[in-house]
Amino acid sequence: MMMGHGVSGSFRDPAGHVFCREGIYYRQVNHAGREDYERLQSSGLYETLTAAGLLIPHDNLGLVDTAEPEAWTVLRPRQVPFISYPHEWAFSQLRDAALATLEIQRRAMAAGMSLKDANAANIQFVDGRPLLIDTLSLERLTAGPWVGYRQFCQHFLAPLALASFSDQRLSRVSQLFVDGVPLDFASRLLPLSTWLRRGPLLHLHLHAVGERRLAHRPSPAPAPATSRATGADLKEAVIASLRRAVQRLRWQPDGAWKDYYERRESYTADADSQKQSLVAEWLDRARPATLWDLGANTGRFSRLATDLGVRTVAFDQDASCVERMYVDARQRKDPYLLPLVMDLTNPSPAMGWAHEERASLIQRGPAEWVLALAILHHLAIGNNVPLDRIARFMRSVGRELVIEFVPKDDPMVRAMLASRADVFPEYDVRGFESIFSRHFLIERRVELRDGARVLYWMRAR
Amino acid sequence: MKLPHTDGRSDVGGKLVVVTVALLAIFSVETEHVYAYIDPGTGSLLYQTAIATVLGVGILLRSNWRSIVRVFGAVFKGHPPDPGAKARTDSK
Repeated sequence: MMMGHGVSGSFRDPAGHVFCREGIYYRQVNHAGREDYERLQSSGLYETLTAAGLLIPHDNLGLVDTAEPEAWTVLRPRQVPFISYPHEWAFSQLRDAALATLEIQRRAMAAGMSLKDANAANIQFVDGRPLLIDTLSLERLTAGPWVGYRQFCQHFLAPLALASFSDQRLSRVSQLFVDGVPLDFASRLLPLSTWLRRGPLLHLHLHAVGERRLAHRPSPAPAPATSRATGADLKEAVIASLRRAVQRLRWQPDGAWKDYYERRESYTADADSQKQSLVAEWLDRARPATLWDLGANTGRFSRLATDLGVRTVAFDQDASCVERMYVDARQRKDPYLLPLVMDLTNPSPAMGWAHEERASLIQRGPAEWVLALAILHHLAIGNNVPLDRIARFMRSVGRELVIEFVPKDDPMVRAMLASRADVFPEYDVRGFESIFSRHFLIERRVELRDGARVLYWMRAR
Repeated sequence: MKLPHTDGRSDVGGKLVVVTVALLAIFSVETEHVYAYIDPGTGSLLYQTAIATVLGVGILLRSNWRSIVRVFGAVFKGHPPDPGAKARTDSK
């Protein structure tokens, strides 16, 4: 009865896996994971971590008739509203996820347990905070080094250091490596000056050297049980050192778009406030459960939604904007906003084994509402995407759409067309409406007061 | 007196020590057997054991720095151990 399709991102762990049935995600615990699961409960660690907002809470449903003989019980975790991936996070999101992982490990060790992996994708942002979603990642603490050490350095420290010391855009190379950025690769890309910084030196540069030089040493015989002291104490020293290394990493955002609203070249103040109150009014009337803000910039319009309690994912291709949105939302303790780095002309693909470990952007939709404000001209003119393809994309990611038409005589569009041929004959209000009407019903149409831009509320056909 | 490793930016001497000890440790360590469902990497595990040892020694040195200085001071300068030093360490 509890059969459902497995979520392929979780197939590696013999202790259990995630499956989905009728839109609800469950986690099956196998007999192989029973002892550690029971320890998590009996040690009080589950209580501690869930109370601290570090681990996802769940209900233990007991074994609900399953055909799999290795199954022991089934958990129903709190559902994650939107799954995001580390390469979509801004610097501070990855940094906070790294610190959360280390804090979980610290508390786990105090309770006689330890993280058996440190995959950044095990962390998800729920209510604006990084949360460990893999309940089966915690195992009994044993002597010896921390098995998650290399993964932590590859998934967190390497992309953070690359963003901090080389170029923020390099943190996106984690999209190329499903198990984190290889350390020798990160070491080569980092500037030489980082050999003089303790964190990058110890955990990236020398780690890469050590990994290569020591890889083929024969593994020694199992250690006697007397070495308890070397276990916890040495792990603690490494965890403390990793925390210092992460805490010292900084990145100062910059970008062409983040001052967009402050400059407001394209808007009169009047049209701008009209647009804002229209969106607020329509949102208040519809009260969607989920919203995607495409091209969110600094998230001014996303705020209108989150103020109404609408779960909002705010996408922008500019990591500076996303960083700013995240830091601001964290400060305001906004539980509804999830800002993510996304280039709509090349959105996140499905990745990993058989393309099933990570879902593409479209697979993670549709949202009830999509906001596409001041973005149409970037897609249609800036990127030569035909209007029909834009309409179909919007149709695939949302059921209702609030979209702004930006005409050719807008200063921004004129600047875009200044040095190139105008090969966009269909790009006018009439063409836009006729093409979008193939996929949407136009519910509202309001010309903004500056007389050029038009705001639409549409419903999918 | 300034404690070592309290200022990460200017402590070049401390860094050199860390590098040297870590490099020495890399080529001399043995690790314990660990079992993991992911591949933690044999090289990475051995390396971690080495730096954990270095970091552990660092912590040990830091927490006992005054006593160490007192003993070395006594040995090299021929002064008798300063009885006040221990009191100052304890009251920290």
